[in-house]
Amino acid sequence: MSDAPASTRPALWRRAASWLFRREPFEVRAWEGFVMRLLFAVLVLRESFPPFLKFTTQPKPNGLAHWFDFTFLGDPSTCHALWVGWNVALVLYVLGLAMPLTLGYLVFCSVSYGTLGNSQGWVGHTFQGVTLVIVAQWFASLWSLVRCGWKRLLFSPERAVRLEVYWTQQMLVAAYTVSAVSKLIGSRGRWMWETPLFGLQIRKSTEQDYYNSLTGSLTENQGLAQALIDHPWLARLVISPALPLELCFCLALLNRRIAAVYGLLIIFFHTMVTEMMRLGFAYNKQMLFIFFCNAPFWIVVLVRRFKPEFPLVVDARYEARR
Amino acid sequence: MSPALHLARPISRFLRWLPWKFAICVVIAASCIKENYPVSHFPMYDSFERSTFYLYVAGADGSPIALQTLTGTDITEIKMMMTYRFKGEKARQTKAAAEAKKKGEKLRVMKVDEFPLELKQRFGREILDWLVQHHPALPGKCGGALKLMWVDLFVKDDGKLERKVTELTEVRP
Repeated sequence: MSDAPASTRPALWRRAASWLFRREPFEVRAWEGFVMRLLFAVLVLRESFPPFLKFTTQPKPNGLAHWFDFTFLGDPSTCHALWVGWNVALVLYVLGLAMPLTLGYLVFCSVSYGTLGNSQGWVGHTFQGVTLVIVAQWFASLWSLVRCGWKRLLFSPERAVRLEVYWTQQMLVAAYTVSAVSKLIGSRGRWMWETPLFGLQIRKSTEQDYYNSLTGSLTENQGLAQALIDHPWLARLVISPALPLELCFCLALLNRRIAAVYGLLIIFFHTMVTEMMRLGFAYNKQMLFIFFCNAPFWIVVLVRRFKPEFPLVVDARYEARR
Repeated sequence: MSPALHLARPISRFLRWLPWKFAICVVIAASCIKENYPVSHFPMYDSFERSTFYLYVAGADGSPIALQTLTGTDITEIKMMMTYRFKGEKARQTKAAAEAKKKGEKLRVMKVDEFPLELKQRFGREILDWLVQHHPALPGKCGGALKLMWVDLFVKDDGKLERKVTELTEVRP
C-alpha cells in the first residue's frame, strides 16, 4: 500500500487512466523475441508459402508485377525449391540468425507469391498482413544493421529484436488505421451511420460461403441480417464501434497493458465478424495474439511474482517490488 | 540565422518528438499507393449500399456446384474478378471521356449499374474460360457446361431483404 495519505493521492480514475495510457517503452527481452518468432513461424509463416502454385501467367498485373515477371513461381520445380528454402529460412528466423538475409529471403518469397496471386484478376488479402509484418521486420533488421554495424549480421543484439517487434506492432497498427481511413473516405464520413446496411453484406457473405461447399444452409444468418436493417440503432450500437476501434489502434503502442487489452478487443471484433459473415481472419487474430496480447510475457510476470528465482527476466517495470 | 535554419530546428524537434514514425509513414504510403501488393489501403466494406451482387457457378442443369470444394477457388474470387473488370472498364471509359473532352466532344462515363448486359456476359465468359483453363476437368463433372449465375441482393422500400437470381452466361468447352 502507498504511504501517501488518501487525500493527497490522485483519484482512482486518474490512476486507472495513467496505468492504462502511460507511455512506456516496450523493453522486449531476447527470450520474448524468440518466443514471438517461434509462434509466428509455427502458426502463421509455415502455411504462408505453398510447395506448388497453379498460376503460370499474370494476366492482370498488380503491384510489382507491373515491372517484374513473377511467373517463375508457376514452374513446379522452382516453386518447390523456393518452398524448401522457405522452410530452412524459417528455422534460421526462429533462431534469429542472419536476420537481414533470412528475412530478405522470406520477403522475396512472400511478395512474389502474393503479387502473382493478386495478378490473376482479383485481389485477395489473406496473406497481405503476414507479408507486411515480414517486410516491417526486414526493414527493422536492416536499420539495426546500419546502426550496429556489419559485425552484427549473424547474431542480432537485443535492441535489434526490440526494434523488430516494435516495427511489427507499428505495421499492424498502420494496417488497421489505413483501413479505418479508407472507410472514412469511401463512405464520406457516413460509415457509422450506414452500418444498418451491413445486414446486406452479412447475407451476401453467408450465401457466398454456402456456394463454396454447398454445406450448411443458404438462409443461415438471414434473421440477423434482417434484424440489423429492421433495428438500425441496434446495428449502430453493435457494428459502428469497429471504426473508432481501428482508428485508435495506435493507443495500443503506449504500453504493454493497453497493447494486450486492445489486442483482445480486436480479436473479439474479428471473431464477431467471423460468426456473422463466415469470413476467416485466422492470421490476423494469431498475429494480434502474438505481438500484442503476448501471453508468454504475462505468464512469466505471474510466475516471477510467486517464484522470483525463475530464470526468465522481464521488463523491470513488471518485476515484483521487494 | 537564415530563415531556413530558423524553420529547421522546430521541424527537427517535432520529428524527434513524433511517436510511431514508422506507422505514420506506412499509413501515408498505403493511402497513396492503394491496392498494389504488398501494400493495400484495405478498402473492404468501406461503404454500404442498398444493393449488391455476387456470382456463383452452376452446372449444365443450372444447379449450383461446390466451387471451392471442387477447384480450391473461393466464390468471392469470382466476384472479385468481375469487379476488377468493371473497374477496368470504368477506367477505360474515363480515359475515353477525357480524350473526347479535348476534342470538344462530350462522352458520358457509365455507372457500373448501367453497364450493358452484353458487356457483363463477355466478362462472365472470360471468368468461366479462366476457370476451365485452370480446371479442365471441371465441366465434365458438371454435365459438360458451366453457367455463371448473377445474384442481385437489395433492400426493398419496405426494408425487406430480397434476392434475384439470373443466368448471366455459360460455356461449353
